Amino acid sequence: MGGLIGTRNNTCTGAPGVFFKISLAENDAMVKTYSRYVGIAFCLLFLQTNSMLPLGNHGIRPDLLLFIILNATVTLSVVHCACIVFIIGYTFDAVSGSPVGLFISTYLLIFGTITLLRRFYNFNTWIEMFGLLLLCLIVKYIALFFFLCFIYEYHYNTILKTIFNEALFTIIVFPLVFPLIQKALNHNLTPGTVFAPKNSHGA
Amino acid sequence: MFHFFLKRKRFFFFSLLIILCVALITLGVDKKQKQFPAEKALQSFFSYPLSLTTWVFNTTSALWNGYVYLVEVEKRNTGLQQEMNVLLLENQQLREHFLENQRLKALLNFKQQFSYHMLPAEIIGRDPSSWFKTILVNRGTEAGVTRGSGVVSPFGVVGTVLETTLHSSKILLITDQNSAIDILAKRSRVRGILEGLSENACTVNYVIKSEDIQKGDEILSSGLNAIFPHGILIGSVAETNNTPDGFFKNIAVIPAVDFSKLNEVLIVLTTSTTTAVEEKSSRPTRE
Repeated sequence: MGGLIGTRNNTCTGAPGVFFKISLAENDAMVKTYSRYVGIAFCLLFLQTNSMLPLGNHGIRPDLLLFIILNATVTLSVVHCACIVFIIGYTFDAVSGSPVGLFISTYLLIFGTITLLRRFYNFNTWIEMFGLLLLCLIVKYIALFFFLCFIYEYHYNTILKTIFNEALFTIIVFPLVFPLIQKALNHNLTPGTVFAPKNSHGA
Repeated sequence: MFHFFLKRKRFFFFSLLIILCVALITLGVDKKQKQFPAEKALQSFFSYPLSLTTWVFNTTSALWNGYVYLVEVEKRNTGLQQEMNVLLLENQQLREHFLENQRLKALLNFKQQFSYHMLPAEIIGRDPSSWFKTILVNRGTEAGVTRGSGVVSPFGVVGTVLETTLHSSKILLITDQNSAIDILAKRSRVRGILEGLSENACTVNYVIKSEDIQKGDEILSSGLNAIFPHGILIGSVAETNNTPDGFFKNIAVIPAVDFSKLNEVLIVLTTSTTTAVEEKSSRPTRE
């Protein structure tokens, strides 16, 4: 019984026509992981979109989806995470007024940066996660600045103002929302650490 | 060969995603491009819980304000507020029509007349990003909303319909940098193109330096293209200056609508297009 996409721990048979070999239990776990991440991402997007909630009707909103991308990139395998990031980015593009592909590309760039960094660091503590968030914000704004200024011809002074406000709002909200996301995703926490040191899903 | 791909599957997978992104961005640059079905489905998917939340919130607040807090006063106040909003809009249009009537009597036969129908809609969501200024409303193609329709409020112009699904529509606000509306200044009748700048500011482009436009001048919709009725207030001029180089003035406009407090809008549906000349000629005569 095989699935479409395998985790990094799966054995590759190399036989023609068999790309990955996944057990039924692994397949179920994979579906659960996807559902959980996408479900939480949808809830966060709902919160961000809702006009009734006091989350900045003045146009500046925190990027709550960045937290789940951060979590997924540090926790899941590369292929799974890329798929989840793509789904989240596409949904964001569909709901917001942005051109299609803008946030998919931005989030994939963030994902790529963290994946590269994971070769050298293990992001286990809160301070490391906070540092990673700052780095993600920098990558995000560089990408958005490039896309908006050079492809969509936005005024750069407006972009800079929005960057400052959004970054500030996101950093303020991070300690409140990120633990909730982790709790919802049932990560095994150890005191003083964000993730268990040896994660079974980890790359 | 197969092993070559298999060994580098992650690289190829990531490359495929990048290619997909580039393709999507390339398609997205074309603003006339229609929404993908998946996008429509996702927008619809989000519109239902958002409508429900708005309904629950409005019902609860109406229950509190109407029955618990102040039974009669609140009801009366709401009624008067609604009446005042309608009258405000009507007054703006009448004033503009009066001025127009005086100036263009001779050309009346050539003037195009549009019949507008206003469809009230409730705001159910706002753009999740800080970069784009859009809102979601609870009216879609089922109610007759089409892409490109104008959206106004009793206080002035709000924006245009960007995308529609069956029960919801995405509105591009005039403050978004992708928005462009044909305008005219009320006092001097100077024409220009209003473009969004930031959260609470717009700019008027293509007004040459010699034109008479001053701080405090009211900016109105020109009525061209039949997206908005003629003479609806858009905002007022906050600042003008002439740059040493270039042909045009720099004009900053503050929108008349406070978008952060906006809860309901009116979608402008054009029902028919006739000209006075045509109308006159089509009338049965006794001669």
